[in-house]
Amino acid sequence: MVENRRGFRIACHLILLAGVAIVAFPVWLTFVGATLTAEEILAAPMPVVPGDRLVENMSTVLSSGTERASSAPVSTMLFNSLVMALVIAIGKIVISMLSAFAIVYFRFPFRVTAFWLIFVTLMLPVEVRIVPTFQVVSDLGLLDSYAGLTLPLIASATATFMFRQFFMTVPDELVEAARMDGAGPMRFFFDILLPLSRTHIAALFVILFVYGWNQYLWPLLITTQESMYTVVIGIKRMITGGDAATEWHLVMATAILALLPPALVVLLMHRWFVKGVVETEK
Amino acid sequence: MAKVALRGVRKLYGSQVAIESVDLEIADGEFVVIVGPSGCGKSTLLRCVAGLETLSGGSIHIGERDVGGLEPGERNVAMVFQNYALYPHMTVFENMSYGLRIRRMPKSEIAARVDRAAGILGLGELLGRRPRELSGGQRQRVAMGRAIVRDPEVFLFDEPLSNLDAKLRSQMRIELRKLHGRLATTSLYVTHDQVEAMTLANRIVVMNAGRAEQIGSPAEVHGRPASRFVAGFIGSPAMNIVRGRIDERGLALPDGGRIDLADPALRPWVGREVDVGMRPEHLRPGPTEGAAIVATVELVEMLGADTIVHARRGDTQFVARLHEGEAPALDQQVGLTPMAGTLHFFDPETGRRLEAGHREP
Repeated sequence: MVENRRGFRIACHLILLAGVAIVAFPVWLTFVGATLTAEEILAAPMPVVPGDRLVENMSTVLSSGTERASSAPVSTMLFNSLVMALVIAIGKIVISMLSAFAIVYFRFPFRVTAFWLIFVTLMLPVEVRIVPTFQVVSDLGLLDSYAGLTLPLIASATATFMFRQFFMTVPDELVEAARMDGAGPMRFFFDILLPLSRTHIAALFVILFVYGWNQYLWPLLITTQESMYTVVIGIKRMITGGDAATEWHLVMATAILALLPPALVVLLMHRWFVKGVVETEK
Repeated sequence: MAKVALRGVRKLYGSQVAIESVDLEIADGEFVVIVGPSGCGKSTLLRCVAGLETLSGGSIHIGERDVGGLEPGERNVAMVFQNYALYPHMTVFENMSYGLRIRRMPKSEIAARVDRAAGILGLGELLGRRPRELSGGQRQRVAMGRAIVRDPEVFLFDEPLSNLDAKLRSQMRIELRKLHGRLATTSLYVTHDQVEAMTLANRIVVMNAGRAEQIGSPAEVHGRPASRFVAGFIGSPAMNIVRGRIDERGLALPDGGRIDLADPALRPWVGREVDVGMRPEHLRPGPTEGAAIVATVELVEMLGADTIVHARRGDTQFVARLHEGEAPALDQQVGLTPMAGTLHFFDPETGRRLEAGHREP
């Protein structure tokens, strides 16, 4: 900005601070809730300073879940979520890299058709095809299994498209140099294309991990056993309707636990891929 | 090392003709430069030899082998690309050894070969660096190193110096020459730069519109250009070419003017329309009376030892390369006369060189 007056800068910062507060306050309340007892959290104005029950609440949910609603330990749910997020993220990256590799570097009949078919599925999110997908997964006997949780979400048009765009920016001379050096297609893929795609893989991994972790509708539909719940579903199940009072302090503790892994992935990988982007190598 | 034979090599892209038909025999250890304007098919021809393009017709032999059906990696040729095409994520050592590692050469042998090539090219200090940490000239060397370690039968160069600045380019040109003197590997080199062509080549192939216009030594190509195209392309500044009808006293120009040429070389062409070529360095300045060409000086370029004079006579522009101190003043009339025996004659229709010995009907 060309404006550099003091008042203007203060105004800018106030607006930014207000924005941060709006985003951060619910997270802060969640954290505070996770440190209180069941009685404290239901007190008329809920305290805004943390209590002293954080470790206790955490260990309760991790080992034995809630008392009244769902007794599955949150550690199992976290593990399920982790498996789901990892399989989806890694699976999507592997599949979409290979498809993009095929589309960009090989001439085969209906290559363009294949690309457009993939591209069209961009417009079909899980929710649209959820009934037939459920039928298929159910007929295959994959309900309440990791395969059922991950397989239907594993193909990704977006990632394929992204890798295609990236591969098209890789200079043709690199392919030719590799051919002169005697590298076959897969050798070229593993020795040259894969290392060059590192930063893109890192960026995609972050996005896809969070995507997989936050899946709600699909796991809600196909998991019936508590041992297969993901943590996002677990939170929902803990909030009981009807007579039983919801143990909000435990729900909050679970929410904090559910929040940590994706935040961690973003923080760790963020550093990694910013570094990669700065050192653009092409 | 091996000889290379191209027979009737032809390349089409759809119905577009990239190479019409090229025959070329490259002797063992020879350095052949293909030169031509952009789009003439010179890079395509090189890529056909490399195996990066499939032939539409004809055959290519390297040594005794027909390499037509072979992958680039199986042809035992190495290529240096215009933009170097170094693998950005690999160190210099890894870049140079990649082809050897693919061939499963023992580690000790790889290290020995890379060391030797690095020694030749002065890359010893840089083996641990990445390409982005190198200057243009160093990258160029690594690209050559990658070719050298392979110890191929043929080196292929695709405009390898065109991304370098002028000073580095002339330096690398000299190094390339020395390198070829030392390794004596059969080389095919593509460039649009005629200075590179003249200085590096044992033989030059001048290409135009998918055909080899002339194949010959640098001296032949410069001294006896086989066509009007070659005459205009090789030599800097370009040859002056004027069209007119030859009579007893010289050349009658279409605009009614004359160029008086008292040269016996004219005699075979009397009465005939021809293109006459005069190299700028063969035009001598003198008084306007009795000069072949009387023209008005429009531009004088001082190059140090030489001076390039652009002069206009009617609609025709003449360029002369004069010695220091011979330069006329601007807007002045100058007389220019070609030195005896330096004229070139070309058929106006076919553009082919006309030789006095075998006059066409």
